[in-house]
Amino acid sequence: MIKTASNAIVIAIGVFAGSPAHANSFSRDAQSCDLNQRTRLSDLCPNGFGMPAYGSTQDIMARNPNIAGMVVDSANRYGVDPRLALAVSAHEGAMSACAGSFSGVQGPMQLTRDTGRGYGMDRGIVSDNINGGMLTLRDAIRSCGGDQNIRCLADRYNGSTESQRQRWTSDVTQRLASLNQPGQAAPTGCDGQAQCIMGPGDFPSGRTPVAATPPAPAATDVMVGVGQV
Amino acid sequence: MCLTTLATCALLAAAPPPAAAQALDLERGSYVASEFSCDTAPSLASMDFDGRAFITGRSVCRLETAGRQGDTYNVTCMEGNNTASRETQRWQFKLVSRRSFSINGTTFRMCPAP
Repeated sequence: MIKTASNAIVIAIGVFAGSPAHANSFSRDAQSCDLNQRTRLSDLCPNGFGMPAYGSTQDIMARNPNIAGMVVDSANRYGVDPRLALAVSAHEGAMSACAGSFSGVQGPMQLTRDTGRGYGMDRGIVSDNINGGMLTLRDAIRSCGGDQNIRCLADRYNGSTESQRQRWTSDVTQRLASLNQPGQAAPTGCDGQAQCIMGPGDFPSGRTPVAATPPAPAATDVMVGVGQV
Repeated sequence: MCLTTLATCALLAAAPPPAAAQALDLERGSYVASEFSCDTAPSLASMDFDGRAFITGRSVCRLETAGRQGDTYNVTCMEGNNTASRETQRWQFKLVSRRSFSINGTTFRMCPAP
């Protein structure tokens, strides 16, 4: 059965966001968390594409809070369990924009060009890569009669050799179990809003951008001289 | 110089050059990047060699002799047999042993059959 688990998912990106452990030059988050953005993967990856850092799904989410949020938003859009979507994206491309296989497949969902085209998606665009991967996963779930048979999903989504399907099954199963542990937090979607890491002096509410330089005094400002306070 | 019969020489000369992978002294089987476990390696770190081609995910990749420069090969990858999906990559490919190789600095080791 396809679960709609978004209500049960707890906001945790802020907790994870400060620990970019084990990143490498192919570990790269999107610049914002907006499924409508049309940012190209190549614009985010000046060093090209390659094998990103992996690790636990929680570590991967911490390194890539924007893509993690987009994966959840896309999962909710297409009726896929967000935790399953996160587990698949963690296994496929470690939720990195610069994830690239030696065969040329790219992006957080490792969408092939032809599969992407089949869904009207350009796999070279971050949001299309995620949405195309999600549609592939959604159709795999439909084909398998639900999302409980991970091995069946491996056959449909991965579609490679027996050994690679077995690895996909084992890793996605373990990652999903980890995300489903009691008390385990996972990100909510970001609903088009960029995830910001709060620092000292930032206000916790509102999304007013902080200017790089202070504004010039206005004519109505009262000027107070040194020593007068 | 041809040291065999003239007919054999003619046959060898007419034969198309084999794809480089066909000449590799590499065992058929499943390989993963060395830092990952054989059981749970991610898709990007998994590769199978069937004696002729490398298979990763849905892509089938063949090393080509044409354009080879030392250890660097042109590699043609396709999604299954779909020639329209053909993409050319460049791999720096090194055979480490009959059960190990490296691509662009990433070392793959053989895993037991599932």
